[in-house]
Amino acid sequence: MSWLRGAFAILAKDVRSEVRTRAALNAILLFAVVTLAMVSFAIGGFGLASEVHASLLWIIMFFASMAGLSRTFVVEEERGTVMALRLTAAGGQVYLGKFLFNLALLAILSLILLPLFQILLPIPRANWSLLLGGLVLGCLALAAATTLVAAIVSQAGVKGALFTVLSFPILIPVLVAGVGTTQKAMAVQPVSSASTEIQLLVSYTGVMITAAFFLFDFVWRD
Amino acid sequence: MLEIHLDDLSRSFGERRVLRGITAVIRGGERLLVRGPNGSGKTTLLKVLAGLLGPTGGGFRVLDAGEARDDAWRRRWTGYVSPDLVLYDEFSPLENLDFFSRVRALAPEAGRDRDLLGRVGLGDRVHQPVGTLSTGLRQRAKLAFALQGRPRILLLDEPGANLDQPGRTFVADTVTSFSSPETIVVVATNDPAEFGLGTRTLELA
Amino acid sequence: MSRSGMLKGLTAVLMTAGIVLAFTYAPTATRPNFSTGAMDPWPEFRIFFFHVPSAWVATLAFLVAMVASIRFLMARDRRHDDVALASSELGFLFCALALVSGMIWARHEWGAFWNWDPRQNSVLILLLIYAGYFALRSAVPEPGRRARLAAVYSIVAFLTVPFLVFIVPRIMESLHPSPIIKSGREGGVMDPKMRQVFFLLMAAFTGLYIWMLSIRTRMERAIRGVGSI
Repeated sequence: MSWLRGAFAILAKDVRSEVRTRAALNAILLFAVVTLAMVSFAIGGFGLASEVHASLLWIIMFFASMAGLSRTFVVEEERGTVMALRLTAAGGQVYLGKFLFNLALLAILSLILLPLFQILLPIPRANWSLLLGGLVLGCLALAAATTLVAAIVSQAGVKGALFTVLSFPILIPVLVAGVGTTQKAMAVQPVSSASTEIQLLVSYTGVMITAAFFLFDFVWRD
Repeated sequence: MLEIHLDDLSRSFGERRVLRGITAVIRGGERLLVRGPNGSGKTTLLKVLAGLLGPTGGGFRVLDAGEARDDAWRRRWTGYVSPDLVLYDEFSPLENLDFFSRVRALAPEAGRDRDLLGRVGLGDRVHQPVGTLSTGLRQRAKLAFALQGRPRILLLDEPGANLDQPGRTFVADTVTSFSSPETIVVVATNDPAEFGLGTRTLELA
Repeated sequence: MSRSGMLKGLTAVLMTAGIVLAFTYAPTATRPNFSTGAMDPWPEFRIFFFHVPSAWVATLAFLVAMVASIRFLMARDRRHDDVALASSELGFLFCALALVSGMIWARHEWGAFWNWDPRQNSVLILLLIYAGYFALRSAVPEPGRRARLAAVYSIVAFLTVPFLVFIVPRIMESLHPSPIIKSGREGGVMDPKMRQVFFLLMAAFTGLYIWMLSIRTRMERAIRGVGSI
């Protein structure tokens, strides 16, 4: 399906750009590692309640996302290449391509953050399939919502903290559900105990992606 | 027969009215020259026709053999060049064209992009990052971008900008070859040397 | 008298009556004293008559803003954006009122301004959404684009509400179970007189919101009208 090929072409282009400059990835990873280090210095020695432990993971994930997930749109605006994209691409293709790109960034973040987390703030025991599953679903939901917000922010004048201010209230369900699954995983609960959280993450992702397909053109086209 | 109908087309930015109720019909085979002082709306008109800006009043329709065409069709069959068009700096002209051909869903055709780059005069720089090209060569790359899909509507905003004589000749030849009932060219320019390109003139006050 | 004049008059009457009756006609609420076994007077409960309608209006205003946003995107008529903006401002105002009255009540009741009660959280999140809406509007200089982007955000934010209202409280319950003794609103049967006053004030607040909405919308339209010649 040529529409999909176009979306994947956008993904590939973003990936190639990122490989050369590594700007978004650096911002995300730097933020995550520094925050993790700071937290570890402060409380690394003490035993952590699973709620606190789980929250820390998601706080780092959230703020690291804020550091880098808007770049995919902002960079196109700043460099002026939006015009060429608008002339040739359908809105949905742009959203899908950049959603997948942000998802890839989050995947890399998770792959690097989780082992570091385990080293500095070790998780003594956990239901690992629940923990990892929750992280995957959380990343999907994060990417779905932030990509749309990033598109909005890229069109605004003064950026500053706008991306964070707009994303946070919308992402609260994701954060609560994410912390929920992680906390239950750290308390070695079965996957079924987090069924509400998992349902939330899945349906939230579905709602956001559907909304994006309806609303994206309004953001993208003047 | 291709036709573009402008129906009381207006565009305002906040309180500033740039396009004021333009009504006209552009027919296939016509080469419309848009002239006017700075700020008269030449660029805005072309942007609206290209789908980059929406009208704030009125509208326009593209009719192909009597049938109205939607945004997706217009996107596919329109080529647009303007001074503020920017290609991906870090990629070469060939990589840029390859990317856009996928996005435009053009059928893969061996050597097509290379041939096009050769025709615009970038044959020996197909692999050089666009960001390292001179402004004149970048303009040629932009022309290639516009011509890539064999467009039926060609919108050129100051096409001769930064071009040397051979480049301008290329533009003139390209424009004059767009003369069938199935194609339309609109050129916006203040350069008197390009005034001869049009078969018809629209003066924006 | 015109229809809108009658509605304004009605609202004024309802509001005045409601405020007076809340303090005179409605009996003092009571709640169980777990040490003596008797029912103690609970005068502070009266804040409930104002707190809940405020929260209701804040939610209604959000809904209205979302609907106006959808209509704007479909018709591109700036008048819908005027409604969305006006409704969001009013929503923000009533949301702040609801939050503050809730916090006063909480401090008095349980000694702390904040209780991580799901309802308190929802009101706070609503406030944050409104704040985001205004931050976005002030970040976009061009009016057409501003209306368009704000409309999209309003809709997206509203889509998270079902999750926030229905699912998130359940998750938070399982994370930190709340104390057994909650507000008298839960489960308890309200005295019929209290219920009458309550619904009276709900209607009055709604009328007040509609009244203020029409004023603010017309104001915005006038500002826009003067701007474009």
